Amino acid sequence: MTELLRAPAETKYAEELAYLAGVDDTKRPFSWRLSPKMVRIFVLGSRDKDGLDRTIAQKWYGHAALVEKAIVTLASDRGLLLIGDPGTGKSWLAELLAAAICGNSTLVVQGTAGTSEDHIKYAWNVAEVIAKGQSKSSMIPSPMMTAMIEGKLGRFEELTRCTSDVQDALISILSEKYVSIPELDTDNIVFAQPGFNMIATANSRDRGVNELSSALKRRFNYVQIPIVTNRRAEKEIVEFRVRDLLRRNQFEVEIPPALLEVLLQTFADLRAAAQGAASDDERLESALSTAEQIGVVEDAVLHGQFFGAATVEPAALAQALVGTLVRRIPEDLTVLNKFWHAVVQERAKEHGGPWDEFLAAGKQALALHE
Amino acid sequence: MSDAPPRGTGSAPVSALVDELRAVARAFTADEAATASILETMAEDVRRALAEPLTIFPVAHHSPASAVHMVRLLRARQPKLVFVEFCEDLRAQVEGLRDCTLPVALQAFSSEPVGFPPDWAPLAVVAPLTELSAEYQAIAYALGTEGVELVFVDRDVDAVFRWMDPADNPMTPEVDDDAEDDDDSGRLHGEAVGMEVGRLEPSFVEFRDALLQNARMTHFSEWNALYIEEPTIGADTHTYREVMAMVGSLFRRLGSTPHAREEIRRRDRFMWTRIKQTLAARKIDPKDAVFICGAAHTVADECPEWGTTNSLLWEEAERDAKSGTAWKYGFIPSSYGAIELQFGHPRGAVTLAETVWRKAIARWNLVPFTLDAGKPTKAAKAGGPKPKAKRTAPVPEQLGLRAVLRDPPPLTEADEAELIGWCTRVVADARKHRYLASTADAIAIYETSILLARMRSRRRPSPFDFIDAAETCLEKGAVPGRRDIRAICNAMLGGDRVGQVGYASLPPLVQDVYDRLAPLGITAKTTKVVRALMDFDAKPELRACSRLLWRLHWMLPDARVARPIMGKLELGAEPRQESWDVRLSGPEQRAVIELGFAGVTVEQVLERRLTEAAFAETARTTAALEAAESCLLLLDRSRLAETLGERAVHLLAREHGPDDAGEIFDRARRLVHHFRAHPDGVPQWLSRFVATGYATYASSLPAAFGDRGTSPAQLGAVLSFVFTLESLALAMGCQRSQLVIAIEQAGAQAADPEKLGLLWATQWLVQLRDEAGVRGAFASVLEHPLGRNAFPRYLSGFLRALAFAPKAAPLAVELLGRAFSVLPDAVLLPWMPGLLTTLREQAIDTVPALMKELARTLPAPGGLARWSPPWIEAPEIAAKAPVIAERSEHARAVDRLLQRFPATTDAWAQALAIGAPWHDEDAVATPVDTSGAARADGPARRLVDAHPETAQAWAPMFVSRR
Repeated sequence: MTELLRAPAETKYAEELAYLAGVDDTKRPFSWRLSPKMVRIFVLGSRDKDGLDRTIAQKWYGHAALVEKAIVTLASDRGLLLIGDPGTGKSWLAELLAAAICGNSTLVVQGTAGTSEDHIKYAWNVAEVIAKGQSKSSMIPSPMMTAMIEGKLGRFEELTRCTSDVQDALISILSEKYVSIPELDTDNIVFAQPGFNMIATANSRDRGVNELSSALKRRFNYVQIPIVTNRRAEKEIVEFRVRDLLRRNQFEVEIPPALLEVLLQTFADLRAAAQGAASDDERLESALSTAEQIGVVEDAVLHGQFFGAATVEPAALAQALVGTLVRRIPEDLTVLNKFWHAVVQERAKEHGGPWDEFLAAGKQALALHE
Repeated sequence: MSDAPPRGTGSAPVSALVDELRAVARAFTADEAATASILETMAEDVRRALAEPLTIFPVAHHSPASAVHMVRLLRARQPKLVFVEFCEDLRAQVEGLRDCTLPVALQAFSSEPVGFPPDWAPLAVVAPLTELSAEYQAIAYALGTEGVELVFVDRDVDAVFRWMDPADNPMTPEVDDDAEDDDDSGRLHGEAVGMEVGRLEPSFVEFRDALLQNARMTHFSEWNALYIEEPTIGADTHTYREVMAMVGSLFRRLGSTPHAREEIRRRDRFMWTRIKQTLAARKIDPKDAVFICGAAHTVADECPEWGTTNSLLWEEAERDAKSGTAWKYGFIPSSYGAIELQFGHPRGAVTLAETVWRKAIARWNLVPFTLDAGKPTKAAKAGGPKPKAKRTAPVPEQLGLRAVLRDPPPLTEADEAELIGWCTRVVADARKHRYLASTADAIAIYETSILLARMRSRRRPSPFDFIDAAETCLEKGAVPGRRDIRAICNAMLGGDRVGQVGYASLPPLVQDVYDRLAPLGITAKTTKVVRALMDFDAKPELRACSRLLWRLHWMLPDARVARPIMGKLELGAEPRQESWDVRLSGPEQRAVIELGFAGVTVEQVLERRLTEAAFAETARTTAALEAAESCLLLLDRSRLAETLGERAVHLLAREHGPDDAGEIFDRARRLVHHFRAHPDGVPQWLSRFVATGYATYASSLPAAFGDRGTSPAQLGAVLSFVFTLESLALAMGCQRSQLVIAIEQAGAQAADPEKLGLLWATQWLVQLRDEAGVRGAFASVLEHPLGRNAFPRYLSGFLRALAFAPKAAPLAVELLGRAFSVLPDAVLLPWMPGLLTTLREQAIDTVPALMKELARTLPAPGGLARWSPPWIEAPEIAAKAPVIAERSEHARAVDRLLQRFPATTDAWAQALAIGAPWHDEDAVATPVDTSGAARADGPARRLVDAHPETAQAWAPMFVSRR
């Protein structure tokens, strides 16, 4: 197979999925590839008590109850809306669920301010319409319609970024489970096949942009994905993703555990500071999610690989952190400057070790911005 | 008997189970011997616990299964002696339970611990009791049945803290991250150390996490519900005891930290010593007794005293010296929310446990034990009320330990209807809380509950599944009302319960409070907020209630016990009406109960608090003066007020700076004004306070004017004290010369412009400078090009003087006027905010005088265009003033002539009857109006006009004479 920059989950974990399908002997909803329990194992990893003769790695970190809620929603009549702050792993969870349940996670509509009804339903091949007239063959089905036709899971990213009229086009898809094509005289209804459902994601920070109508809300079950604040879980996520990055790039970069602690502690402190801030100007624009931490480590790893001594230095980490978090100048810079001198300085005084270098490099990076 | 071993069970099945587990170990682990050793130890623990002649009954806190089996065992066995793993010194209190509404908590409290680190204070231990706690069932059985004795066998409350590591502060318990405290009832236990019989959570975090991860659960309560509660609640009591003993063994041996294990071991030794001592003293066969303890205590883990088959006693149990702390015991109200918060259970866990308990007692036709007020009745003699004999009580299936470990729990009776009921009710309740919820949602919740239960390997949905399903289907990102879906579900499944301590179990102080508030309709059974509207004209007897409420409000300002809605407490004021919100339930009752540990009446506690506040080692003058004022306001005891006041005098004499001068002045002035209008006059202590203040502050003036650390505001407060209360101070023998000298000295010290402004005003007051001198000083600042920019600061200082020198108001207005007319905007605009802030600070003292003066000076509306400030000479007026014309040489010559020879002019004056004003001495200097206007029609003019020849003849003569 040709190498891909980023393979979809069903390709990346094809072997695991095939194995789980092979050993799955429990009841499953009609047309699902795996039973709900196996889907859960695929997403959350296997445990000894599952009785499998091999280990399935954990791919998404968070409350198991959330994943269970998501899986049972997809088995029901309602669509699933994953809602949460940016970087909490909503899209990744959606991709894993789609890959495990229907073996295809690529039927995605990306919601933007410019998304139109055509992107959700169908469009026309204009040349063919001119040549042959309107017919099923000249119709271009959207990924959502393809999911309906094939009885798979359609994904809708950033649903609340779309305008309300476009969002409402989903109502009939979710309740009647068909799309009518008024342009055609015959054969003008596309019915959804069993197995069709929808996983949408929405950014809770953008919720106010285009709030969902009540009619659409009641056709979705909401699953709120919180920011991971548990240190241990967060550490696992960061390590998992960094390992993934190293494997993908065939790097040999070492991340000292003490340094990872520095990063986690800094983010925990930043979150605490953001919580105590009185106004938006006093907190960073960033949601301080786990994804941001992964981004920081990735930057530091790449720096270490190409410009360092194949190890991640505290200085590189501090520079990456400042670079990632300073988005608004001067607000973010002011916040970070204050934080660095009040909190990081204290930590360095208290713990020493990598904190000292981290402190100095952060100050330097902030000075460069200034 | 239901707790007898099932047929074919006993020690043999445990061995069989061990064989089976060993086979599993062989299959999954490399080191079979180690696993086998652990398994065998566990099996031995179970065997030994069950074989002990004294019935050991392991329980988990607030576990419905424990409570159900407890009821069953007590009814079947009817033991004569009940041992409970509670602190032995709490035993004396339990009789009071008869009077309480559950949940309540037994409390031991000490506000002044002795022998413990000072930052631990105050120390408190609470042991909450709910109806569904096994220990409550045992207590209710023992207290409600004649001939049954209840003994608490754990170490005393003092030892709870004595055995702790001094490095840990027990009064800051760790709270679960997920725990939410969004409810009042969650605060019920305060920061007390929680005591549970049967805390069934492994203390070894990694072990607990491994369990939870393996079960894919987030909270231990869920694990407990699925793996222990559900399988054992329907099993027989013997199997229940076996399972609990096994879990206890597992958690103690593998799931405890070494520190926790050591503590449990020490307690075991203590408890078994006490048990054996009691059995020996009462001469009771161990078989007639039951020991209720946490599952971990079923294990004989390096505890030689464990069991009644040996006679070993732990000698240290007697030797352990107490700390010397005086402990107060009693009840406080508790709630499910408080229990969850304190012990780190997820929100709603105890409510769910209660749901399960109610269902179980209905299913097994059990009658739980309850405590009625009064002595044990005859009916209770044989073990309390018997189950109703209307229908045959179903007998639990005899499962055995092996069956419980191997198979999921058997299905209970038809629960379908119950689940459907929940689904429809939650939708209705959600609608009431402004959720968009419909029947379609009820169906979705039902389906989702079933799917979740299946995914979680349950045969039917548990309340946990139901709540998760309801949340998934109904929660849409934002909560439209006050409650979210989880809270709605919890409320629907029973909701939080808040207990109430009954009148008889309350400390004397609280009983007294209830008695005295009885006219307002408040009793120990009142659970709601009472709005008390008091009209003292109509009901003068309510004044006593009002006074009590003010005292409670002062002592418990944050507890919301008594909140004044209308009415103020002021010296000398007699209100005619007041309105209060009074709460004496839940957290508020707890707050008053804790007050009750400090004294017998509210007044006694208040007196002590006031004295403590004034006589504390670090107390400042303000604290002592405040205490004295509060004493006058709240207690009206002049002798105590005098003691407190004398303390304030003592502290004031030692004041080092004017830091608190503002507050001291306000209070002192208020008190002096009050007592001046009082028939008894100003008390001695207050006069002395003023005299001391005058002397202290006057002598500190030079330093205060020079010290950069003393702000002008503080200096203003000092001067206010000195000048406002001066008459009283002088009457007490103070000398003004002291003040004058101090101000003279201060002149050499002051350099700050604001302080200089203040100083000039002060000098004017003591006549070291006159008004012109002050005006001149300001004028010199204004004229000086370098000093001009600082003029506002000088003026700000001067304005501060208005607080004690109202006569400075006209000059202040004049100076303000000059500043605004002369200073450029660049100086004025930055000054404005500061000026406004200064004026606002002195709103009461300065602004009225200033406004009055401004009103006097400024013109009426409409007159501004023609108005000119009195301190500036208006140019128009100057133009209209009489013009003294420059006199010509001719005119002066005529004047001289006329003066030398006045006879002619006099004769003319006589003829014209106009008098002769030129004979006055002043008239010479008085300018003559030569404008002509005045004499145009005069008789002299007419005469000259008619006969000009004389004047024409004289004219050349005058010119030649020149």
